[in-house]
Amino acid sequence: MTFHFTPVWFIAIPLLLAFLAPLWVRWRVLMPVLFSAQFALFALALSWLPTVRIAPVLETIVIAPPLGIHLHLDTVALLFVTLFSFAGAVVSGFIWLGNSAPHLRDRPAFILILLLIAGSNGMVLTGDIFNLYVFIEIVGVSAYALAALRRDKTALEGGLKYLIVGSVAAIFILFAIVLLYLQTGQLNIAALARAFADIPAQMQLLIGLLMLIGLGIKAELFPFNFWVPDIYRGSDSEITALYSGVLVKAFLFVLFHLTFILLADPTVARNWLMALGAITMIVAELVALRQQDLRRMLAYSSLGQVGLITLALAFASEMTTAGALFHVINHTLIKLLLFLLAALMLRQFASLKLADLQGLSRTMPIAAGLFVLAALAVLGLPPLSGFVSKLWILKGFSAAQTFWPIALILIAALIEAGYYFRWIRTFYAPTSTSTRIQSDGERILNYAPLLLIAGLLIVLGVMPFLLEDWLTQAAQALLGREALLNAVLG
Amino acid sequence: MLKLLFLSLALTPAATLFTWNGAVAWPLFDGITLLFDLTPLAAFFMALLAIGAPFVALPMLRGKSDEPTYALYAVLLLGMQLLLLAGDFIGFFIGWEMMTWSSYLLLLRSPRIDLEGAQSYILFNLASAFLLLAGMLFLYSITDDFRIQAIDGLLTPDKWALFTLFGLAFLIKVGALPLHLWVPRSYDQAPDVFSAFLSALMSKMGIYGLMLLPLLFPDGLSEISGRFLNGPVAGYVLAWIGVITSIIATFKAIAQEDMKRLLAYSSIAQVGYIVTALGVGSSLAIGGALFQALVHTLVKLLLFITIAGIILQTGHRRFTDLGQLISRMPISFFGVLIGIIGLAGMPPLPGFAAKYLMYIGLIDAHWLLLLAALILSSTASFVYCYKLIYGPFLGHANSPEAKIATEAPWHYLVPQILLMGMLVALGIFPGWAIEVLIDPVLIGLGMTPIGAPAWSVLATSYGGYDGIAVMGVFATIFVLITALFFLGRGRMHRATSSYDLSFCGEVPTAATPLHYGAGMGRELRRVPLIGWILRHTTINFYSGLMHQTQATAGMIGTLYGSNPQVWILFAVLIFALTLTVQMLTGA
Repeated sequence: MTFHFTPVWFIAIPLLLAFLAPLWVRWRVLMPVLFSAQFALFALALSWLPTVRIAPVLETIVIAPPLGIHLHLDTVALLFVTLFSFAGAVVSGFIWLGNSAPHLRDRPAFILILLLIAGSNGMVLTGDIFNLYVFIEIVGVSAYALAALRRDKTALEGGLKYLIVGSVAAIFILFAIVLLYLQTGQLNIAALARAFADIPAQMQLLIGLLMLIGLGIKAELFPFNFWVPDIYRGSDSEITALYSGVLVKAFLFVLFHLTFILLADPTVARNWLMALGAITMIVAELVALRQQDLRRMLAYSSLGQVGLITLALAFASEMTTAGALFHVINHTLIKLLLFLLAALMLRQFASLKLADLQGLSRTMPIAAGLFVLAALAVLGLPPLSGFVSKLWILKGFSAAQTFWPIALILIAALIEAGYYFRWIRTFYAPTSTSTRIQSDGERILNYAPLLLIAGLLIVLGVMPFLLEDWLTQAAQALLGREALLNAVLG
Repeated sequence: MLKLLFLSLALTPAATLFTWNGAVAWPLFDGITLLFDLTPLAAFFMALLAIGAPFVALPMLRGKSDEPTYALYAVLLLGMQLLLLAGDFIGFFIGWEMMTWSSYLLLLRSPRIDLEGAQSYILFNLASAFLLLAGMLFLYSITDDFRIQAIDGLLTPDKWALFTLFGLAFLIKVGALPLHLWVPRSYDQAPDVFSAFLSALMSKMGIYGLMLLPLLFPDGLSEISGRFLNGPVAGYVLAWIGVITSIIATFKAIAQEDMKRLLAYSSIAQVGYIVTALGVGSSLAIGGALFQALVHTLVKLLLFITIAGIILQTGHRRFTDLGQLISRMPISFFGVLIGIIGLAGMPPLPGFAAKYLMYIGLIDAHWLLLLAALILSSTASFVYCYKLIYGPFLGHANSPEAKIATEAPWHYLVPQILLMGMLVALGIFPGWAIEVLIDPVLIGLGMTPIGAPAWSVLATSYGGYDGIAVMGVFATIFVLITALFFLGRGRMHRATSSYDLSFCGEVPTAATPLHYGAGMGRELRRVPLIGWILRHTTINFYSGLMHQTQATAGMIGTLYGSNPQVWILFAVLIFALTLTVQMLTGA
C-alpha cells in the first residue's frame, strides 16, 4: 500500500484519533497524542508545500454522482491548514506541559479540540457547499461544548449563549445554502459560481445577505459580534485562544472564499465588506479602552484585528490580500500568546481585573515581558512581525491611492496603543496590589510554547521574506476565481 | 562583567561611526529593501550619539546591576543607529519605533512615573510615528518608492501635504508647542539619568528628521511655495513655530519650582531655536542649527547628569528644598555653572558661537521680526539659568538632607568633568567644530561650507571672534576675582547661623522660607502677556479629548449587552431592514 497524497488526511486523522480516545485514556497518552497528532499534521502540511505550490491538489470521493465529497487544497487553503494545526499544537502543548486545569486534560476536551481542528480544516478544504455546512456545524457544536467545559456558572452561561447565537447563525447560512440549491441545483462551489450569475438579482441579494449575516455572526463582524466578549470572558483562556486563533480565521476564510468565488466582480461586495470591517475595527478598539478585565479587553482587541483583516481582504488587491493573510498568521500567533498568558496569570492571581494585576512584573517577570512583546506585535511596531503585515496592508492601500483606510487603521492603532500601554504600565506599576493565590513558582516548561511563539514573532518580523512567496501565491489563489474554476471544472 | 559588557554596548555608536564602510542592504519583503549607509548628516548625529551614549551609561552602572534596563538601553541605541543609518523611510521608521518603545519601557522603570506621564509619552510619540508612517505612505503612493531622495514634479498641494505630515511628526518629537505636553512630564518622571538621554539625544532625532525634510524637494523648502524675503515660505512657518515655542517654553521654565521640569522646558526652548534656524535653511543658519544641536547635547547631558547627582545625594528636586551645596558639591557646582553659561549662549563658551551663527542666519534672510523674538527668548532664558545655579548651590540649605549632602559618586563626576572639558575646549576652538563637524555636513547637503581660518577662530562674512583670546580674557578675570575673594575673605563678616539676621525688626524662625529660590519667578504671573501664557496650558484640551473618547467608548460599549435575545433581534432587524431598503431602491 502506498501512501496516497490526499488532503482528506487533515480531516480524517483528527477525527480518527478523536474516536480512538478510550484507547489513549487506557494507555495514559491522551495529552501526548493530542499534541503529537497536531504537530504531525503541521509537519505534513509544511512538507506538502512544494507540491501544492506547483498545482492545487484536488480530491473527490464519490459517493453517488453528483453527490460526493470534494476537497480542494491550494496554497491559501494549505496556509490556513498549517496555521490551524500549528495553533492546535501550541495550545495542546501548553495544556500538556503547562499543567492546565484537569477538565482540559480529560477525554471530552481531547475529543472536542480534535473535532474543532478537524472541522476548521474541513471548512477551509471543502469544495462543496453542503459539506461546508456540515463542517460549520461540527465546529460549532464542539465550540459550544468547549465553552461550557468548566461546568461553573459563567462557563455554562457562556456555552448556552454561544449555542443560541451560533444556531441562529447556522440557520441563516443554511437558508442561504438551500436557496442556492433551489436556484441552481448545484452544491459544488465551483459549479455554483458558474451558475450564480444567472440567478435573478433580487435573489442574489437575498442569498448574499443571508450568507453575510450568518457568516458575519460567526466571523465576529460588527453589528453581529455582541456575543463575543461574554463568551470569551466565560470560557477558559486556552479555549479562547483557539476561538480567536482558529475558529474566527476559518470563518473569515469561508466568507471571503465564497465572496471572491461566487461573485464574478468582487467590487460589488467590496464597499459593504470594507465598511463592515472598518466599523468593526473602530468600534471594537474604542470599546476596549474602557475594559477592566483582561479577557474582555483581549476579546475586543481580537474583534478590532478581525475588522482590520476584513477591511484589507475586502479591498481585494493582491498586496492588501497578501498582507491580510500575513496578518491572519500574526494575529493568530499573537492572540495565542496573549490568551495563554492570561491563562497563566489566572492561575497565579485570583482575578484578571486591571486593579488586581498591579505590579505583576514583580512576580511573573517572563509573563509581563511576553505580554509587552505581544502588545508591540499587535500594535504593529517593528521589529516584530505585526509591523510587516500592517505595512504590507497599508502599502497596498497606498499603491491604490486609497487613503481613508490608512487613516482609519492608524487611528485605530493609536486607540489600541491607548489601552495596551495602560495594561503594560499596570503590570510594571511600582506598587503591587496583587494577591497571589498560588505560588508554585514559575516553571519554565509552562512558558516553552509561549517562548516559541515569541521567537516566531521576532523571526518573521526581521525576515518576512521567508513567507513572502507563499503569501503572494496564496493571495493570488484566493483572488484567482477563473484559475480555480478552470482547475475544478476543466 | 555584565556591566563591562553593557559599557561596551554603549560604545557601539562610536564604533559604528568610525568603522562604517560601504552600504548594507537587507531585503525585507515585496520589493522593499532596507538600505543602510552613513551620510555626512547622519554621521554628525551619530557623533552626538557616540558622545552621549557612554556618558549616560556610566551613571547607570552604579549599584546593583539591572539587566532589563541594560537590555532596553541596548535596543534603544540599536534603534537610534538604525534610524540614522537608514537610507529609506522604512528603515528610518523601524529605528524610530524601536527608539519609541524601548525608551517608553525604560521610562517605566522609574518609580516616579504615573499613568498620565506614561500614557502621554507613548501616545504622543506613537502619534508622531503614525504621522510619519502616513507621510511615508503618501510619498509611496506618488513615487512607488520609500527611499529618502528628492522628488521632481510634485504638485503644490502634495508638497504641502508631505511637509505637514512629516513636519508634524518631527515637531511632536522635538516638543514644539502645542504638541509638547509629553515633554515636561516624561523628562520630569523619567529615571534621573535617563532624562539626560531623552533631552540631549532623543530630541535630536526629531531635529535629524526635520533636516531630512528639505532633502525630499530638489530645491529644499523654497520648492514648496516659493520664497519670502530671503528665505523659504514653508521655512518661515517652521521658524515661527520654533520661535513661539521657545518664547513660551522659556517663560514656563522660569516659573518652574522643580529642577528637572525647568530643564525640560528649557530643552523645549533650546530645540525651538534649532527649529527656527532650520526654517531659514541657509548655510549659515544650518551651520548654527548644527552647532546649537552639538552644544545643547553637551550642555543638557552635563546639566541632567549633575542634577541627577544632586537628587541622588539629597533626595530633593525642588529649589526650595535645596541650597548651599556649593561647598559640599563643588564639582557639581562647576558642572551647573559651565552648563548654564553654555545654555544661555554667553561667551566664552560655544553656546555663544551657535547663537551667533543662528542670529546672522536670520539677518541674512532679512527675517528681523523673528530675530527680535529669538533675542527676547534668549535673553529671558538668563533668568532660569540664574535660578538653576542659585537655587541648589547658593543661599541657605533648606532641608536636613541638603545640609549633610556630599559630592556625587564618581560615576556621575567622570561624565561631568569630561563634558565640562569638552565645552571649554569647544569654546576655545569654535573653528574646529565648524571645520571638522559642521562643514562636511554642509558639503554633503550641497551648501557652501562656512569655513574657518584657524581652529580657534569663528569667521563669517558678518565678522567673528578668536576663541583663545576670548577665553583668555575670561579666564584671567575669573582668576583675578577668585583671588581677590579668597584674599579678602578673612575680613568679611561671617554669620554663625543662617537665622542670625533680622529684617524689619523681625527675627526669622525655622519656618520662614529664607531661601531665595522660594517663590522665585512668581512675580512673572503679574506681567500681562506672560501671565496669560503661564496660566494657560494645553492639558485641558488633551484631557478633554481623552474624556470625550472615553465617553464615546462607554456609549458604544452599552451595545455589547449580555442578552442573547437582543443579539439575535439585532441581526434579524438588520437583515430585514437592509433587505427592505434594497428592495425599495431596487439595487
